[in-house]
Amino acid sequence: MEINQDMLLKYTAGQCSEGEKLLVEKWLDNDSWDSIDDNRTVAEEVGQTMWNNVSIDTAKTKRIGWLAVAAAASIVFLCGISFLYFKYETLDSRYFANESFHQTKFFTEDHYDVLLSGNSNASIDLVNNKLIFSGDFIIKPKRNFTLLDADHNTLIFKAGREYFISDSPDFGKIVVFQKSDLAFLPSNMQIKIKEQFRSI
Amino acid sequence: MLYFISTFLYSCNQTAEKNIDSNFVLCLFNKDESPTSFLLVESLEEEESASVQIPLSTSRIREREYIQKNGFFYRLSNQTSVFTRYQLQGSSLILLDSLQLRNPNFETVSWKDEENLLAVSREDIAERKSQARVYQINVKEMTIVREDTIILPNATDEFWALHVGLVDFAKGDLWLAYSFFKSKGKYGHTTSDTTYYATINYDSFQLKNIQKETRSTYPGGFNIIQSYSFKDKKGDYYFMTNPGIALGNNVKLPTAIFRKKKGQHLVDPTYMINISESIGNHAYGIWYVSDGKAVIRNEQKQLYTDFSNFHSVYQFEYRLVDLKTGVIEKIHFPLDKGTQKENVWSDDNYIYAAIDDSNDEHRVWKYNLQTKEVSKGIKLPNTTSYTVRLDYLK
Repeated sequence: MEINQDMLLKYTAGQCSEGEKLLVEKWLDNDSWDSIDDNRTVAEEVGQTMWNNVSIDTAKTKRIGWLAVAAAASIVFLCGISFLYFKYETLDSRYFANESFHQTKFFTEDHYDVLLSGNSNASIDLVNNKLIFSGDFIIKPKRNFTLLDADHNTLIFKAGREYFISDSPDFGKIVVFQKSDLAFLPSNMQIKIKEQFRSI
Repeated sequence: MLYFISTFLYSCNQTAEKNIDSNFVLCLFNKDESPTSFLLVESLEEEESASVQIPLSTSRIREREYIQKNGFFYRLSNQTSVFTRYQLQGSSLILLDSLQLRNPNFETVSWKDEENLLAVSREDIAERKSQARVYQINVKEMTIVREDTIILPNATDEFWALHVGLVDFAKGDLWLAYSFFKSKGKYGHTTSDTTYYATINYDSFQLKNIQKETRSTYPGGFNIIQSYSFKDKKGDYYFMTNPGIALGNNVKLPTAIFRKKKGQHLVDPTYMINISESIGNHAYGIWYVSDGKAVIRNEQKQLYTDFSNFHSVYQFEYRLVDLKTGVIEKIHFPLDKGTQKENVWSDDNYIYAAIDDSNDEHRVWKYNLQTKEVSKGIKLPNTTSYTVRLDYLK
């Protein structure tokens, strides 16, 4: 079975079967450029047809009817409910430490996952929006939040992203790099980061 | 993941035209951590409209290391060391074949001829051996024609990690340019102040000669990311050293252009264009234009502070270097961002550069080699964050 536009849309809508879900996740994580199975191609769907379909979908949205208005109202209602939910949701303050010199240590929390490198620690305070840390870690937020570091820099974190954070003097100052930023570091730096954090 | 897919599916409203006859491909890093994509276009002109965008899978979110030749794409997976060959057919990337190698992390490649790729990686760093692994791969047959290890001399106890920056083949001999670096702190490194040029008999794989160079260091860079050498119409080989912070990080030595004349194994000791002395900055990347001229891409040290913003500030300029006289002229393109981009191409009339400017406009710009005028070329999708490559497909 090949990955196609319909399946990606179903996946984003949470409507895939377990089998389809596994296939899409395998495609997203695989090491090849364009397909699940190295002997198959998906580019026709992923490239040409996808853009055609997206164009068609975009054209369709121009015809606004009562159904669309009702849908929009529902979204506004759901956003309101979500806002109330998050407003009163319990925010927390946590301290993480990894005393090992060579092993990373993984923590999963309600609002983020953290992977600490060796000899690192981090205090993440979502109540007062403060971050105090030493060393290096990767954080994967599950919701949007903002933290102030010890130098009063505002650090913005978005749900679903992946951030590498370090206070190593080799970078000049505290750095927060998104995954795509790492491509611009010197290759030796990239290799050393990959050696520590196999997952990034 | 859901966010990535949905962002990418809906943020790009692109008119696609089936099976365009694309002449160029641009590799785009997209906003919001959406998957990297290829944009296929027929021309680089402003009025261009036919284009197709192909997203790569999410795991390739920051990948730009590949070799493109005559419409074929070659890629080495650093995870699996599998070398793969793809071809663009219409708007599809078709996997043609793959080959298992023993080493990841190619540092430098060059074409021995139309079918044979020479690829070099460093090897056994953990054992502190300064050795390189050389592959000759026939890309048409997808076979390893030969593979050999060569220990390259002059490592020291302090500087023992090898960087093989350049590979060339001439008159039956392999020529490698290399330097040694050491780690500094947890993530940093610096390169020693010397470059070495090795000539190796390709049949016997025996070292014939080492030439020592102290005028600059860190020859080349990772040339599957950016170009650092070329041969001109006469067959003379030109290359650039890169001691700036983004590559060699021995900033007191100058970025410079050197020459190895056709048929020679020794680098010309009388020839050097000192870029840093002329413009007061380091440069990365060099592209041959024609008529004895080349384009370089330089940083501006007063505009960045350190690695935290080196890639993201709008600092990069483009300059035209006369390889005969050493005269350097600024090309008045908008300032660009992004470290080590392979984004320059030229024909007999124009230099084209894909630039990400401070207005968040992503566009190919043109420089008229006769009139020296700068004008606009094709506008790229506004979902682009960095245009990391521009390759000619024919």
